[in-house]
Amino acid sequence: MTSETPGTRPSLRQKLTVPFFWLVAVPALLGAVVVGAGFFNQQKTRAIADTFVPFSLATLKVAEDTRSLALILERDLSGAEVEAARRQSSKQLESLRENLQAQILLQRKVDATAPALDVEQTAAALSQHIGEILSLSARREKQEEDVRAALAAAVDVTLEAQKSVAPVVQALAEAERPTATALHRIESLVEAAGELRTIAAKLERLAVSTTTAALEQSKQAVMLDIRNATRLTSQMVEASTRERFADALSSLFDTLNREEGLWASRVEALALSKKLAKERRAFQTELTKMREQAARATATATDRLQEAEEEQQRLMWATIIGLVLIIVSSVLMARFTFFVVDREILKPIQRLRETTVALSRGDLEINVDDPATQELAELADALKGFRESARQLKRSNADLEQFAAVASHDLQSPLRLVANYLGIIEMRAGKDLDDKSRTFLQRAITGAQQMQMLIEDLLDFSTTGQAKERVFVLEKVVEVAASQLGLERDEHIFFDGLPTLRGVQLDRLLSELVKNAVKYAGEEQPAKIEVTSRVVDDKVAIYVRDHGIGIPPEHRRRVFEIFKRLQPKGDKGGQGIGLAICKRICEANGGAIAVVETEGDGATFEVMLPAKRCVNTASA
Amino acid sequence: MKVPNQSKGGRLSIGRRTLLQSAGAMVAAPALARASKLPMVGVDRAAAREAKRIGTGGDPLVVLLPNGSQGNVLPVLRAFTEQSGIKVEHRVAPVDDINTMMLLQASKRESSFDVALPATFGVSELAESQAILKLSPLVAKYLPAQFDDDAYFNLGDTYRGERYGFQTDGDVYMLFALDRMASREEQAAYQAKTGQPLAWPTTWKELDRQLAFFHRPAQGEYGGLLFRTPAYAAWEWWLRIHSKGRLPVDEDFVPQVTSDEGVEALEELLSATAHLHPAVKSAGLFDNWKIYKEGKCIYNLGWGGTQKALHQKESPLRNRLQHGATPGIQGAAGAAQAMASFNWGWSYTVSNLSRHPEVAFLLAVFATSPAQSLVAVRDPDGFFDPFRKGHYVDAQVVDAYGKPFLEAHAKAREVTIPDFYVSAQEQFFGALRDGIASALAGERKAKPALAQVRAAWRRIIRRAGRKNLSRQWRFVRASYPASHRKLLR
Repeated sequence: MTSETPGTRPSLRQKLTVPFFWLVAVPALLGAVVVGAGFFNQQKTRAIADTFVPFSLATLKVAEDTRSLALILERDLSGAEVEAARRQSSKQLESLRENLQAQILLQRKVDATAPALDVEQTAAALSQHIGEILSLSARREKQEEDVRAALAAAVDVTLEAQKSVAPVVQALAEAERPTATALHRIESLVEAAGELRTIAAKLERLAVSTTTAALEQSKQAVMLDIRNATRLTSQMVEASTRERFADALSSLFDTLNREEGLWASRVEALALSKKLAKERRAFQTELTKMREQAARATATATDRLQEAEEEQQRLMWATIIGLVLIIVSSVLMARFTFFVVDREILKPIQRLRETTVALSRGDLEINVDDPATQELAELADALKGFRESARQLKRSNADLEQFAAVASHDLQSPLRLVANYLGIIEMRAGKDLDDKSRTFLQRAITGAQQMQMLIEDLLDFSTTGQAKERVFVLEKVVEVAASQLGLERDEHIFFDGLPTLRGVQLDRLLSELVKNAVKYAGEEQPAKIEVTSRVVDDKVAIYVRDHGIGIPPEHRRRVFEIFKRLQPKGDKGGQGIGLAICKRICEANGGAIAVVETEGDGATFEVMLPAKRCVNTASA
Repeated sequence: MKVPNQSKGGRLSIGRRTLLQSAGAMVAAPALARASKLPMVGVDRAAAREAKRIGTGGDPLVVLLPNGSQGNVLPVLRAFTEQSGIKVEHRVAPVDDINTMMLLQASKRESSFDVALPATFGVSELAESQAILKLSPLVAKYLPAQFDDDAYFNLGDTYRGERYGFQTDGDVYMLFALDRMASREEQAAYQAKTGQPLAWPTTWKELDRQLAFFHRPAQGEYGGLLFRTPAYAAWEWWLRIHSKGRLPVDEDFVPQVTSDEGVEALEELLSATAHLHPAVKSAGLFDNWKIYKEGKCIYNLGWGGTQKALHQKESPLRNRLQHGATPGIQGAAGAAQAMASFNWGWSYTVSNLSRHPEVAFLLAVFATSPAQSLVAVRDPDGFFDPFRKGHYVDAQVVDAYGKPFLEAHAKAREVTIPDFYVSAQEQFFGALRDGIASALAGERKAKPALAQVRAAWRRIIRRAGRKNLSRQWRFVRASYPASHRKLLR
C-alpha cells in the first residue's frame, strides 16, 4: 500500500492511460512496419520481374541468333553455298547485333555493375571470323576440288598403264618360248600392273586422310609402291610398254610431288581445314563468350529474382513473426494492463469488498487497505468510518448485553429470595391471613415468579446466537420438539424431508416456532402443525404453519420484536420473547425470518437460511 | 673374281680400288693410250681446266641433286663454274625419290640432267637400267691413282666391277643420345628398376630397356625417336637381325628373313615402337631432326647430317648429345661387338644420255676431290658427311660436327658394315619395306609380314639370278669387318 495521501494520488484515468497507450501503440507500430516492408518488397520484386522477363526474351533471341550463325558456319560449304551463307550470316549477324544491344541494355537494369560486352567490337570480331571462315571454306573447297581432280588424273593414268599390260603379256606368251626369262618378264609385268592397282587403291585412301600424319603415312605407302613399280618398269624389255608405264609413273610422280601436286594440295587442304577448324573454334569462342555473358547476366537476374523471392519469403516469416509479436505483445500488454487494473483497481476493490463483508459479519478488527487511486482511497476512508461506527455500536451492544446479563443475573437472586420468602410466608401464615391479604400475597408471589421468568427470558435472549455451530438433523429436532409438546406425528404435526443443516441453535429455532404454533393453534385442539422445507436459489427455506388465529399483515413485522405480544398477556401466556429469539438465531446463521402470506387459516413462518449450510437436503 | 681382303681394318677402299683398277684397265684400255691423267695435287683445278678445255659449246650442265644437299653442292658447282667457265644449273629432287626419278627417266630413254646425285644404294639399279654412265673408261683416262687413297666409303660406286659414281658422303648410321645418362638420379632409378647400370647401350635389348625406362609421355618425354616410316625402319631391322648373328641371306643367297632371329628382330622393333615419340610413324628425315631438336626424346638414330643439324649454333641440343655405334652383335660369349652400318650415302653419277659426259665426269671428279669435298662437308646446312681422312681434321668440319662426334664417327667407321650392294638392291629393300610397313600398320604380324618379304625376295632372286647375286653378296660380305664376319651366318 502506498502511503500517499488521497489528494496527491493519481486518478484511475491517469493510472490506466500509459498501459492503454502501449496496448494500442506497440501492435500498431509493429503492424505498420510489417505492412511497410511488405509494400517495399513487393515493389522491388515487381521491378525485378518486370525487367527480367524482357531480358530473358532478349537472351533467348541472342541464343537463337548465335545458334543460327553457328549452324550456317559449322558445316563444310561447297563453292556455290558460300555466297548464300555469306548473305545469310550477314543478315543473322545484324539481327544478333540488335538483339545483343537490347539484351545488354536490359542487363544493365538487372545488374548495373555487370561488365557488358562491347557490342560493336563483338559484332566486328564475329564479322571478321565469319568472313575468314567463308573465305577459308571457299579456298578449302577449291583445294579439295584440285585434290579430287589430281587424284582422278592419277587413277586414270594408272588404269591406262595397266591396260597396256594384258596385250604385252599375251604377246610375250605367244611369241616367246616359255623359257624362264620369258616367264620372269611376264611376272614382272603382272607385278608392275599389280603395283599400279595397289597405288590406285592407296591413292583413294590418301584422298580421305584427315590428318597430316595419316597423309604422310599414306604418301609413304604410295611412294613405296611407285618406287617398286618404277624398278619393275625399268626392267621391262618391251620398250613401248616400259615407256607407257614410265609415262604413267612419271605422271603419277609428278601429280603427287609437283608444287601444286596432290601432296601439296592435300597438305594445303588439310592445313586449310585445320585453319578453318581453328577459325571456327575462335568463332565459337566468341559465341561462347557471348553465351557465357548472357548466362552470367541471366544468372545475375535469376539471383536477383531469387533474392527477391527469398526476401518475400523472409517478409512472410517477418509478417508471421510480426503478427505473433503483435499477438504476444497484445497479450502481454493486456496482461500488463490487467496487472495494473488488477493491482490498482480490482484487488483494492476486492479487498474493500472483503473488508465490507467482514465488517458486515461483524469483524470490526479487519484492516482497511489504503488503495493507490484517489477514488478507491475515498471509498476505503468511508469504510474506515463505517468500521469505526460499527465498532462503537458493537461496544454499545456489548455493554448493553453485559448490562442485561448482569442485570438479569443480579436481579434473579434477590427476586428468588423475595419469591421464596413470600412462599414461606404463605406456607406459615397463609392460613392466618384473610382472603384479601392472601390474595395480595398470592399476587406478590405470582409477580415475583413472572419477574423471575422475565429475567430468565432476558438472560436467554441476551445469550442467543452465541453458541458454537453444529449439525442439526431437522427431522429429529422437530420430532423431539413435538414429543416435548405431546404432539403426535402425522396427527398433530406433519413433517417430512427436512434437511440437515450446520448452524447455531437451529433446534431452539424450530422448537420456538413449533411451540409458538401450538400456542396459537386456535380453537382446534389438538393443534395441526406442518413443517416443510424447500430450496430457493441459494437459500434453503423452512416453513412452519399452523392453523390458528393467524397474524394480520400489519403485525407481521412486529411479532419479532422483543416483548411484543399480539394477544393479551393472560390469553396465551409467554413473555413475547420467543419469536425475537427466533429472529436473532436466524440472523446469527446468516438468514432471516418472516411471516408470509398463507392461504387459508393460520400463520406461516418462513425461515430463509443460506443453502451452503445444508449438509444434505432430503427434500430438495 | 678373287675376294679382296680388308687389309686396313674396315677401310673399304683397297678392295674397291683394286677391283676398279682391274676392271677399268680392261674396259678403258684404248682411251688410256690417248689420255693424260689428272694430277692428284690440285686435282679439282685440273679437272676444271680439262672441262674448260673440252667445253660444252655453251650448253649448261644440269645437276640433279637431293633436296637438303644444296648447301653442300651449290658452293662446289659455283666453284666449278668459276674455274671452268661452264655454266651449271641444278634441279632439286625429293630426298627419298631422286633414284626413282632417274629410273623413270631412264625407262623413257630421256634425261633431264647431266650429273645426278642418287643415293648410293641405288647405283647398281641405275646401272642396270642404263640410267647412269659407266665411268670406268673415264676413270682410266683421267682419274689419278691416288684419288681414292684417303676415301673410306666408295664400295657402292662400283657395280659388277665397273665404276658408276663418286661417293660424296660418309653416311655411317649411328646412335644418338641426350645427355641424361650422367644424371645420378636417373642412374639410381634405372639401377633400382632394372638391376642394370645405366650405360651406353651396346645391345638392342639394352637399348629397348632404356627406351622403356626413359619413356614418360605424361611428362612429355619419350624413350626415343628413331624411325618408323617404312623407308627408314628397314635399316633398323637390318641392324637388329645382324645383331642376332643372322644375315638376311645366307652365302647362297637364300633369304633368311623369316629365321627366328629375323622374326624376333621385327617383333622387338614393333615392341619398341611403344616407347617412341608418337609422331614417329609419319616423321621422315627432316621431321626427325625437327622433333629430336625439341629435346623430348632420349635416343635417336642418324647420320653425320643429323649431327650437323643438331649441332648448329642455335640448336638447343648443341653439345648435349652423346654418340656411338649402333648396338652390336652379341656373340656366344663375351661382350657385344660394336657395329655401325653404311646405309645411305650420295654419289656423283653421270647421265647415260648426257650430251657432255666427259665434262660431267670432270665435274664429278672436281666435286669429290679432297679440296672441293671438304668445302661440301664443311657446310653446316647440308647433310654430306666426312668421307675422306682430311675431312676429320679440318677446323670448320670440326666446328660443324663437334670433335666428340667426329671421334665417335671415326670409331664407328672402323666397325661399319657396308650397305646391301647387290643387283636389285632397291627391289630387295622395297619388298622389305613393304613387309615392315604392313607390320607397322598392324596389317600383319611379324612372321607373316616377313614371309611376304621372303616370297618377294624369292621372285627377285629368280629374276636377277641367284648365281649372280651370290657372287656379289660374297664380295659385299668380304667387306664386313673381320671380327663381325666370324659371328654372322
